[in-house]
Amino acid sequence: MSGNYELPGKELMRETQAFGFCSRRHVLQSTAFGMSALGAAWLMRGDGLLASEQPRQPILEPQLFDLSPKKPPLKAQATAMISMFMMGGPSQIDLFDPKPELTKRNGEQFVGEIRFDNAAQASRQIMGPQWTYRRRGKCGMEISDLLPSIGEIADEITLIRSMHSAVNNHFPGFFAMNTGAGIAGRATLGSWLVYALGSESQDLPAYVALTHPSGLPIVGGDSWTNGGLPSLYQGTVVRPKEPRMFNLQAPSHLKGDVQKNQLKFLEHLNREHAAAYPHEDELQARMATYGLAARMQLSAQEAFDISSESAETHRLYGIDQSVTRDYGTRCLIARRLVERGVRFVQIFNNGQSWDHHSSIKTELPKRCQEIDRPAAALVKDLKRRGLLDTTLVHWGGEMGRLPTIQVPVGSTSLDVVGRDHNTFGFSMWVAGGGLRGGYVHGATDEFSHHAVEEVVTNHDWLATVLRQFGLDHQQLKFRLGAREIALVENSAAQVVERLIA
Amino acid sequence: MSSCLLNLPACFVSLGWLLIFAFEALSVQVVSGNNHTLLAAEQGSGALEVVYFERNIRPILKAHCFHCHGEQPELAGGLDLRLVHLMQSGGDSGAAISSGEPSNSLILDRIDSQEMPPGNKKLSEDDRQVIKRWIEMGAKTVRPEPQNPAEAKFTEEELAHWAFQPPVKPLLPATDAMRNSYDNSRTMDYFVAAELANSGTTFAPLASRAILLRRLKFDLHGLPPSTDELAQFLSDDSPDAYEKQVDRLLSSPYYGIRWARHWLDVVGYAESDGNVPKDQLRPHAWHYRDYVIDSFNDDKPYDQFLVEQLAGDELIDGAPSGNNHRHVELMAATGLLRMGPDVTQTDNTLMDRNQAVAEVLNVIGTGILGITVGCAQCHDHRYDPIAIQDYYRLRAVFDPAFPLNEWKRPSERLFDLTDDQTQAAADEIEKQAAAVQNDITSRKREHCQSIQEREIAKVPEELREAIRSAVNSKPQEQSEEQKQLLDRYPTVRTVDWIVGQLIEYDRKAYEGFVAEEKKVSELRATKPLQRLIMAVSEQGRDVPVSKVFFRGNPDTPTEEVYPSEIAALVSTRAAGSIPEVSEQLAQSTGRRLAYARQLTDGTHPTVARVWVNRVWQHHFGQGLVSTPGDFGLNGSVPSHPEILDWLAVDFMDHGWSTKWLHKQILLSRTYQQSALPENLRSIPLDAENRLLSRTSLRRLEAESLRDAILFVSGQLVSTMGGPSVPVTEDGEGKAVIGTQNRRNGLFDSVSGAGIEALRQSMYISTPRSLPLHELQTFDLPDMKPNCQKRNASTVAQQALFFMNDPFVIDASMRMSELLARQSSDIATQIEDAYLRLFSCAPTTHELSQCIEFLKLQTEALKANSDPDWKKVMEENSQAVSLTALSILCQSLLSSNRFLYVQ
Repeated sequence: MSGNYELPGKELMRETQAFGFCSRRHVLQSTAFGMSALGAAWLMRGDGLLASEQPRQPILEPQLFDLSPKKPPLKAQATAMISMFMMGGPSQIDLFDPKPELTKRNGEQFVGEIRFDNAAQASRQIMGPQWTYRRRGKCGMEISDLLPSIGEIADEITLIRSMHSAVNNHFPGFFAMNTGAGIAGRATLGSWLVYALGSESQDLPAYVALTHPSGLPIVGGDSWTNGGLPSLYQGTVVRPKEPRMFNLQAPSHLKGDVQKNQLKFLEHLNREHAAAYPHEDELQARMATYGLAARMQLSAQEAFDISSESAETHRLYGIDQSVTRDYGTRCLIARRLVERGVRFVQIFNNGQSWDHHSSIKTELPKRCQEIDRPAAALVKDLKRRGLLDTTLVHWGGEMGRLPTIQVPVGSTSLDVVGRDHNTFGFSMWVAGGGLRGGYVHGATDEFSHHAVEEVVTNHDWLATVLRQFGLDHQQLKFRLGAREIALVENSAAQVVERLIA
Repeated sequence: MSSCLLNLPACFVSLGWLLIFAFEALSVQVVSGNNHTLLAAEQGSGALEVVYFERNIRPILKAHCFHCHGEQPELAGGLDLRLVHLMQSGGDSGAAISSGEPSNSLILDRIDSQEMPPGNKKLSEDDRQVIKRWIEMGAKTVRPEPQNPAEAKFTEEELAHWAFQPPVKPLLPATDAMRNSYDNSRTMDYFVAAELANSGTTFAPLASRAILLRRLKFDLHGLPPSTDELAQFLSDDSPDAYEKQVDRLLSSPYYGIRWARHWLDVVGYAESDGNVPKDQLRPHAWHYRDYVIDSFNDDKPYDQFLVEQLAGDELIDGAPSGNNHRHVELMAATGLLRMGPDVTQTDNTLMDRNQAVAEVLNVIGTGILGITVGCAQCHDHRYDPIAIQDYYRLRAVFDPAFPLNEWKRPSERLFDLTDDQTQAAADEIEKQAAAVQNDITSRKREHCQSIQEREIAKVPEELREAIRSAVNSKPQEQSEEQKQLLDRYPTVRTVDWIVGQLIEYDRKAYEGFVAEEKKVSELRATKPLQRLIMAVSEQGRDVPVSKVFFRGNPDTPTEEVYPSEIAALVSTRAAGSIPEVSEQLAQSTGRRLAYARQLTDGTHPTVARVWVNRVWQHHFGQGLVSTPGDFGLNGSVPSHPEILDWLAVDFMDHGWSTKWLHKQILLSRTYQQSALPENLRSIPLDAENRLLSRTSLRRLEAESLRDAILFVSGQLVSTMGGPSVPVTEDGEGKAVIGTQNRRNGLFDSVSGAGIEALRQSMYISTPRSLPLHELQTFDLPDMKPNCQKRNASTVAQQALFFMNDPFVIDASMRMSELLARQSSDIATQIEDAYLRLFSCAPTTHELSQCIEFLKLQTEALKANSDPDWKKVMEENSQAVSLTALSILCQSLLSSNRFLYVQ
């Protein structure tokens, strides 16, 4: 991680971000302003005056929130996280969780209890995995042929086949996986990490959401909300196309020299104004923010600009092909952000595009094509740059799918049917950040309906993530009015030790 | 980031942490309160001043130790630290102190070993030293102590705090010489001058008239002066030109809009409930906002203003009527008690209800009393002489309006005060709409019935009757066989189920019904608006019993309490008691009315002072008391206590007229000073400008900035009153003006609000969870629950906003078009821009600088090869010159000269 380099003015910038303003002292500390010794002397004296009018002031849990990097209480394996969220519920049966029993009984009626979401189109007809599985890597992990590139990183990943949330439907499922409970508006995992650990970069937002070109994720701003945490910790949306951040780019008429001239002129105006009021240091501080803004314009732009990456890297991520261009670009940006000290990045797909209630036979391969190569590239690229050890990579959705068919158009032809929701047993994979590579964790029943062995609930998962960042899920809390909030509020939650390398 | 510096949790006291942080950063010793005088005296004379328990030691122990060692029924370690003799007799480990022997005093052992106090909050080195010295000097008390600590709950020192004594008009300090030396001085000037003279400095020169007008206009209207207004004022040579201008501005309706905003900060006005995950909008809150605006414009006496807001409902005889304008006004006034965060619409536990009431008390405490009453909700106040019992006695005044056990959710407690005529018109439309809806509902049901038959028909014939009977049986009455049958054919469902899932069974029919129902809602949307008011009333005279909640927890009520003002605030005056139930009112206890009358009887120690201080704060940038919500022992000491008292008494003597108060301040020599002292070398004598040796520069507040930009670009729409202009999230998650259109439940687009989007910021909706981005960027406060003082942050996002935000770019373009319409001469255009923005014509140097800049940018624009821009240039021959002018406007708009009032 590029945590400890110091640039001129960086201290000031950190303070600025930390407190949302420049106090007199912050200005003084910055040599950039070249305050005279005389000026400094009387400013100090001003502090003396302030001090004398303050009676007894013990420190009452100062509510001082900032983004400066913080040391976690426990030993940390991970310092950054990239979550590729697969909204909709990818079919674990067709991608990660081979079941010979289902293949054998393909077409038969399912006996026993089954939990449908859409009863109007429900059916008990069993549908086995529609694609072949193959053993991959030295570890021999079985992965579907729909995901050949992910197959190539089998030895790097932990495949969890026993996920369980029992929170039906997409919105609640998303919240359960990302915020710890199936209701909207709770603080997200990213917010908690940034709250607890700050950011390694003071030139970029600490928590970034990379949205899909189709628009916001379906739960909107709640996808990266700070919930009850201070708003400093909310995610910053980086748009799927240029401009990737608001107000970072000049409108077309101000491009090039025009804005440079303008900033120079503005500085001149402000300097003339400030010269008349040498004692009003806030004017100096505000002038400095233009420098900072200009730097953010550059550094943020630079972080989002993938043109400096080699052609080989572009190919690795599939940016050279139209089907993977968008997702590959966003995965690459995610890597660049983490490389520059961003703490948490989440990449969103199109709406709930993994929600294959129908036509799974034709639609699932398309979704896989879009993400397979870029997702695998991200892991490979992080690894070769030495970033995988400290970057926790996550790939998964809010649910899985049922072993029986859903019949949306009246026909039970396998070309048009889909699979209904399954929140009782589903799969996801993770890599890096101190987790075990080449390892398959847990199992579902013989029909891949319920997780039965080494079940990992959404709460366990979140507790484990916190643990990898050196945080204890039982200790990480925030006082909000009359109550105390936490990411993991389920008392049964446990760190899944076996996932850890 | 919270944008209000002072909107901290009730227990968390104002600027404290900020200053502490500053001290720590520089390793400046924190010299606090009473000990400050002590140490200062030492430094001066070298002699050691005697340290006393009541003055020097008790405040430290009260803040850090009393909670476990005194206030709790169970004494920790059997040790009570509230009295010296109790410390001497000690606890389980023996005596806590040994007079004259610090090394033999357990209390110091425990402090030194960091064992006490437990937790992260340790005593400062200063505190430790003072305690040590006190023991060395014999552990003295000022006066003999009572045996029973209950009789020494508060010391004379605490109760003698200045803010708990009623204000008394002070003697004038000024000599004749001083009076003669300043023309047109106001009384307050004498006090300011005296302090300045003591410090060896003096007033700054008078500000120029143009600067003064701009200052005045932003202060009173939140807008810059128009060029006409400026010309008129500058050409008025009469001696009372300035006073006439002040009167003109005070009588304009813009005054009420600007000053109502200050009051809305005090009461924590927001247009949503404030629940974090599911923030509910408060679409009717605006009635209260308009009430406040009208009250300021009418110069409603502040005492009456308070009485109406605390007890407007109790001023109405019988049930309020929508046909009675005064009733509507009084009920809207009580909105003050409904403005706090209140999540009970969605989360309605006892704790949530209790929290909603606590927020109301927090607002009344910090907002009206200037006392952090809320700190005594769970335990005795750490600094002020306020017992937990005091808190619940004050709360008992409000309990009948907030009965925890007969709680109404926000939606259940709206008062429908629609007048009869409006109601009749709405009823007629509702009748039509209901008829149409009934028809749709019954046809939909019939259709679903037929779907059910269709699904049954898919079942083998021999099973059809059986499954029909199964599906129509209640689930709990179904036999095992019936259940199995239904399991086999999951698409056979009850008609009710199919109605709910129609989209899955028959999408086309579903969409048809949706379209029909949309017409019904369109019809309903044509109804005239009902007047629904967020107000307070009581539910008869069967009142809840008020109790102290142990540790603030409503699940653990203890002793019963009766309504009264906080004891420390009545200890020095003869305020009547508050009856539990007044005989005058049929529907209400009258407690709030009686309390409001006490607050405004002219003898209350803080009420007038707190308001005077707030008005002062908004004219000078900081209050006489710089902690406007905390006048208690932990608050700041007034910079000019005499002015505060003089104005407070005079204000009450002048009928509590806020406009009178404005005039006292605005016509003063102090207010009219320049931002530049005569001699910059005098600045160190008053670095923080606490002595008012000049006028401090102030950054425009969020609303003023947005309104001013709209105003100078000729866009501001000045419609007053009515429902707020909606704010929503756009496709990129930015809070913008407008409403969201959704398709299939997903975001589709935002419909703008048209001309409404250009209204003053006061009329833009302020949901707690969705502040308009132009306002949020400039520190619109987070109302949790209210705001004592706006933050004025200086962050890079603000720079980016001025550099690139569409709001600024668009306004600059509008402004350049406006200038170009007025004149084709460049110099005239620049002069016009300067007058609009700075109320000052450019100097020749500035003019030539601007012309130079326009030339430079004209060339740069021509050379700009951005394809979008090139297209604009090709299509419009005026584009380059107009755009160059707009960039000049943008630069001037972004400049500190515009952003700050001087």
